[in-house]
Amino acid sequence: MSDVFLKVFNMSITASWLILAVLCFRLVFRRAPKWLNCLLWGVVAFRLVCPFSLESDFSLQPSAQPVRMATAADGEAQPYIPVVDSHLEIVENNINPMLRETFSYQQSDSVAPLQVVTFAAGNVWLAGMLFMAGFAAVSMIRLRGRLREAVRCRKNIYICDNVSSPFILGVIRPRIYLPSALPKGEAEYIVAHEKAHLRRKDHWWKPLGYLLLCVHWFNPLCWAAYILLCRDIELACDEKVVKDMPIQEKKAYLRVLLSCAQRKRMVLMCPLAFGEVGIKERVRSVLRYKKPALLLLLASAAVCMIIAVCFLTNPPREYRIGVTIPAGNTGEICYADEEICPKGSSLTFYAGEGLGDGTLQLIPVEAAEENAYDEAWYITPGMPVKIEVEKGAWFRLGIVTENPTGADKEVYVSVKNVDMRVSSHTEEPESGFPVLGDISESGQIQEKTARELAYGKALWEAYLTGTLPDGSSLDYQGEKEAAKNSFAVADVDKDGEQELLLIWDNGIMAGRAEYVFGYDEAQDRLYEKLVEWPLIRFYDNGFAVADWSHNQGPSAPWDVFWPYNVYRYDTEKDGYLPYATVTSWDSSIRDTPPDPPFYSEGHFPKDLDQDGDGILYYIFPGQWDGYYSDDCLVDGGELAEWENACLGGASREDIAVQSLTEENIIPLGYPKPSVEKPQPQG
Amino acid sequence: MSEIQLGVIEARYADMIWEREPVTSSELVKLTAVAFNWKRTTAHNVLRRLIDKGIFQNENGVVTSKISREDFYARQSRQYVEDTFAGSLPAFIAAFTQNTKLTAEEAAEIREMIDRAQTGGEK
Repeated sequence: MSDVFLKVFNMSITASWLILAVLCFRLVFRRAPKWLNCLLWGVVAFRLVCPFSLESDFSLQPSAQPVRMATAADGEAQPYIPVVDSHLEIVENNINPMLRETFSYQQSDSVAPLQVVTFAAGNVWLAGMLFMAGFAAVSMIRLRGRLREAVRCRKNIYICDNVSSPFILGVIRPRIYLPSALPKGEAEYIVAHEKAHLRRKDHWWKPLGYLLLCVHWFNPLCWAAYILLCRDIELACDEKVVKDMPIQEKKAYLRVLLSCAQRKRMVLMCPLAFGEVGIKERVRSVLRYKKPALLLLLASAAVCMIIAVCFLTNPPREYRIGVTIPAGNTGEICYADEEICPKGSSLTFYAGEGLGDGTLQLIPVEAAEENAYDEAWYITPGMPVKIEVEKGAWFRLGIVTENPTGADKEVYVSVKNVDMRVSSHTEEPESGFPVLGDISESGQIQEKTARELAYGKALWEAYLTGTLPDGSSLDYQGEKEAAKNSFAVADVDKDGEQELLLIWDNGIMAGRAEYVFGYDEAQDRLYEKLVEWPLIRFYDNGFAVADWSHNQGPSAPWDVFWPYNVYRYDTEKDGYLPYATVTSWDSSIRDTPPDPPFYSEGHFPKDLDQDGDGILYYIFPGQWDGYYSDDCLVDGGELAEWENACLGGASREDIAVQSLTEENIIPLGYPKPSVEKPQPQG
Repeated sequence: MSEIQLGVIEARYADMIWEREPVTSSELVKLTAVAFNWKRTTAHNVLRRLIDKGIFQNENGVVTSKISREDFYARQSRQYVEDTFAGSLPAFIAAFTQNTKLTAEEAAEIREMIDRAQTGGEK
């Protein structure tokens, strides 16, 4: 019962807006023909009756479902916190916290407090409804009892001693009942009035209005609507009767109205007659009735239409999709539990509560068209994202956003014009492709992030075709040789997100390289952070050191010193920038300065060599331009000091490097692509 | 004897009895069934009301008059009951309806409004 009550309550609230609009219309268009008012009440009635309505963008209804009945889509026992979804800020800001505090579900309670309230309210509503209906029934029975004495006068007109005012009774075969004591001249006008009622089918509309009032008895606006409906019916009926009467006859008609009103109420069509219009208003209305000007008629009809469209339709239902962002999340993609199905060919997403900025991704679950949808869309409040989609396909929604806090956080995205279902979790995010996931402690398959998938894809390409993400070719000798290379997924630069290290060191000398890739969520692509000679030593303070491929120039023998490049991670550029290049000048290899520049006359600067080992070191800051500038010469002790300044206190990262084999690529979750080129067998 | 009021249909029923008295109540049921399309109980109910008003009497199913037709109409101003059921509505409904009843001043005002209205309508 409480569910039905909530449904009715929602219908009542949405209809209230329409009633208010009709009241405004009546105020503005006082001179509009009264039948137009009746028509508008018909629209109100429709809204009160019809639990469903079309969705329209023109709708002015603040919300299709002001009080949400259940939060759980699957009917599970969920914390039941009512939400007033009025889309009116003042309501949401004041009422909802109140509701939350009052009705939030306590573990100890056996039923949620609001369920108690709605249960009680449901019963009260039912009781009220029964009372209203019972009252009408009793009145009807009493009236019928009196009418047994009625005697037929002619056709469907009956006279009765026992009634004081003329009225119509009956829905299928309505009869006009007249008091037996009507003065001679009056009957004619009264019958004309009642016949006009019959032609207008008012004997249907008024009981219908009462029936609706029985259901919506708790809504004061519905009482106002019913009372005004009764007035408007009388006024419209008068209008119909006097439309073609000359003024003298109008006056006669009004005198009958007046004498009737003096005796008792004029018309009692329904057992309840307290919507009865004041005689004064009817007299005034008849006296000033003129055939409405065409312009007024058109204008009011147009406004009528607009009201109907604006308030009869619900706003397109907006779905709020929540995504839980785990504590400390930096770049992992998080999925919503719901799946959405666009009703049109494009969807517009709005960043909602909790979502500062982030990227949004649609992952097709069921799609007919081959479309990757692998683009990530930047989304932030005030900047909705419009995405062209396949109509009728089902998508999961992924969000990438940071959560620097220590607690999981719920972020919301709103979208209209979709169907929604709860994800079955058995279907995989990628259309048709099996995706392997890690089994977490809770036993749930953890979804692969877009980043992992992208890294997996890049590795497959390197392994199967020897291509890098930018399309350039590696030194590739088939899968068997490629498998001798290695890779790692680790956050080497400590930017909070994992990088892909591709260590291609099995090839020919010139082709050996270690690639550090980052992942660009917004564009779903990999980008190079650093390319160097393997193996790069990564330090946890953002430095990376890579040895030269060749020990060249005047540098000391390999067992004494090997030149190297130092890089430092730049957060802003999100890449490694050259920090310094370090090499040595061993006086035993050459006494003259290394070239360029050509210091043919120069000698090894012994005065700088404080430790006297015959070796000086060059520290070229930034990107070395290839010039051996003596300004950069330091002694061994100074180099040690400098090195300590850079790396002292930092420790070298221990990176788990794996062979580039199928077994190792599969866990990243990207399905093995089929490659067009002929595979070397064995 | 105070004035006895009859409704139009009651008066027709009474006429029917005066014309035929003495008449059995079962005959009256038949007569009203033809003339008024009434049910048996209705005929009896209205008859009892007429008897209660002291115009007729029923002795063992035979209805006779206590007051002759001529006497009755000589005494009555033939004013029909206009509101025989007033007061039978529940009190709370009456509360709603009462405010729609017109006072004499209001009625006079409205009557003047109607009379004043000229062919061009009220301005």
